Amino acid sequence: MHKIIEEELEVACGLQGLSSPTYAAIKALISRKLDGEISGADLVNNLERVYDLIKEDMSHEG
Amino acid sequence: MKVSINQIITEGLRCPNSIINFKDRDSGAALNLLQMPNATGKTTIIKLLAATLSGQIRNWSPNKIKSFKSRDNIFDGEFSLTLSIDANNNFSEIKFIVRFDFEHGKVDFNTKRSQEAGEEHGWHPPRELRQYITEGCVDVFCFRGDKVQDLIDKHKEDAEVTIKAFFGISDIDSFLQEIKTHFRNTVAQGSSVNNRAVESKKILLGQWEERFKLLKGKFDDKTTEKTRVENELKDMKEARGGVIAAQENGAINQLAHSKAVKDAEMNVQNSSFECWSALKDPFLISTKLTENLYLIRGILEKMKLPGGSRTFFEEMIEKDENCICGDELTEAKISHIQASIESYLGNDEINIVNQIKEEIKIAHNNHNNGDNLKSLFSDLKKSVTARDLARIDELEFLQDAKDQSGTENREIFDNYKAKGIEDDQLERALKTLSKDYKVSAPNQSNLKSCNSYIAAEGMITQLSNELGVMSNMVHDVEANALLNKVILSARKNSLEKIKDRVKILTNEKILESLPAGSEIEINKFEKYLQLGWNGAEQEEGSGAQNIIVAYSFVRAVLEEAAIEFPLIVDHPFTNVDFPNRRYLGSKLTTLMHQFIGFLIDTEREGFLQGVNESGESVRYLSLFRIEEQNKVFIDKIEKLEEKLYFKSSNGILCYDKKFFIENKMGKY
Repeated sequence: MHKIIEEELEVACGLQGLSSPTYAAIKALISRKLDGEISGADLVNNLERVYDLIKEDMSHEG
Repeated sequence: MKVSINQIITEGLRCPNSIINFKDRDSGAALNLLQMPNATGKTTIIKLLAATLSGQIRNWSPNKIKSFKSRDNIFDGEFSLTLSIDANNNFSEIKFIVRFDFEHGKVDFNTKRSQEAGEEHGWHPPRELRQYITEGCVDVFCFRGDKVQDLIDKHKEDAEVTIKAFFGISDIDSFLQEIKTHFRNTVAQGSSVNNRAVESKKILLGQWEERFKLLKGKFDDKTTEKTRVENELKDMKEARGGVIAAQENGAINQLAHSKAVKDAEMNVQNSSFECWSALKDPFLISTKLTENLYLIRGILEKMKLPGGSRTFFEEMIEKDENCICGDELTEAKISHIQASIESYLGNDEINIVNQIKEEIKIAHNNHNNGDNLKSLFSDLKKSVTARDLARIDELEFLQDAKDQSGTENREIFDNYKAKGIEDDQLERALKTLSKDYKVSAPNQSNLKSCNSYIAAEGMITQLSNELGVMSNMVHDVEANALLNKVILSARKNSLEKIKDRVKILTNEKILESLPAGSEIEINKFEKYLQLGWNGAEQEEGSGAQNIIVAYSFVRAVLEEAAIEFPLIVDHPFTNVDFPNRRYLGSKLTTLMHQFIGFLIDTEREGFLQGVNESGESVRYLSLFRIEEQNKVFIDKIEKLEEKLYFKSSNGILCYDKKFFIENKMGKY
């Protein structure tokens, strides 16, 4: 993933109040997607993990 | 990482059987020039090369595969491509082998990553290379000469599409689509609530998904058709241009008419832009608006506002010991002042009021009761009339040219016209199919009224969210919305930043490559590259300048992506005059580590002199079929040393510089 995309993703996550682990999980998922390394059930499982992390962040924010 | 093309092998295909070995700067020649007589298979080789590299050849239709069959009655064919990869001085080689079964219209794709590993079934490029050899990326460094124009054409998006492909923005877009699909499935399947409202929402969602599939399918089909028609139109335009050029002063007159139309269209565009800008002025809505605002200003003036008084008293009670009257500032006096100063204005407020008064004054003084707008509309009307006249002149010129040409050539004019109409119809259909709007509430159950796949997709998202909320999945809906928002925001901002960096890099490279004093650069990177100089816009440069801009752009994209690829160009110097071809010839070897140019005979003059003057080593290749019309070449080849040429069952590839220079290969 190009470093600018990484940086902008970090900024966007920060602005939406997402935590570092959530940012890391989204970044890893996009990165694997760009490298054509993830699809099918693996993609679904990773997405579910990202949703769980986001929901966790949202519950902390109250 | 640096990637070079080492070898191409062709057998049983629409081009001569051959083994073509290329060089790069490290192996002795950055510039590889390949000449072939017309209809020998230049385009075939480039198409096979691009589709093999990206692996897209595996998705070709049986008919497309069959169309690559050799003229000989052979039902098997093979195309192989060997690349060398230098990853931080770690050298490796990879070979893609495509075997054709023309009888069934199938291909078998294999990859050979090393001698030891042997052939593996499928497309297996190194992981770090995969992102850069998608169809869209390969199109960046493997292109037809006319792509140069597409990068700077304001009606096209090729420049932005290149960035999207090369830096993974397109992949992010398809990832967002996958997220949407996943979420829709989650909501549709995961609902734990069973009631009539949820069930009917699910049915409606299913219907919109069907509608979306239908419209998206249509859009994709029409897009493919549009590309085909555009290519045919280009070829037909070239053919028509050839017929006109053969007539007396044909080429000059054609160019003059085409320029007149282009200029007139540009004037219309500029005039309408000025009208729109003027219309944005709110004071144009009514003359009364300005008059009344001026009255308010007068009232504000008469009010003699106690400007800055509050700030004065605030500072006084904070810093001074005595009041302005000389008496001591007692607690009682301070309390009294504090209670009174709220009704006075401070510095910030008075500044705002003064600013408003000033703006009203300027607007009032500049107001010209719409005279300026009238004059702008009058200019627009004149420019539209001038454009229509220029178009009529061009049509009359083309009609004359058609009348002067022979019967068989007249068909070329008619075909071009018919193809143009087909192209316009497709353009309109694509616009309708991709119109971005929100389906209105009354039409949400009238699916047939929606003809845009984007609007249909919007409905799917809306219904999924509604269904999620109805199904006690509010947190999932919110998490999904947040994930989409984060990715979309990163996508939008990074696209703009990467475009900005590529613009700066391209301009640096333009400066390196063009002669001193050449006034051309990229002014703005919209969806296309807006050329100009010092902020002034320019629609296009000279033929040579456009080529330098395009090559500089490709180099900048590759540099920003930290990867080097060969630049493979069909017709690299069309539309470039003699002196500039010479200049480009002298510069080309310095631009890339490997340049493979498929030259046509008309591009040689000037360019070859320039190449010679550069003093750089060049790989000269001449490829032709063994057939009667090439007898003159075959006779000469047979007098050469055997190591200078490769002879197959139906073709000859010659590496001799002298042979290349002395023998032009063009139309028979």
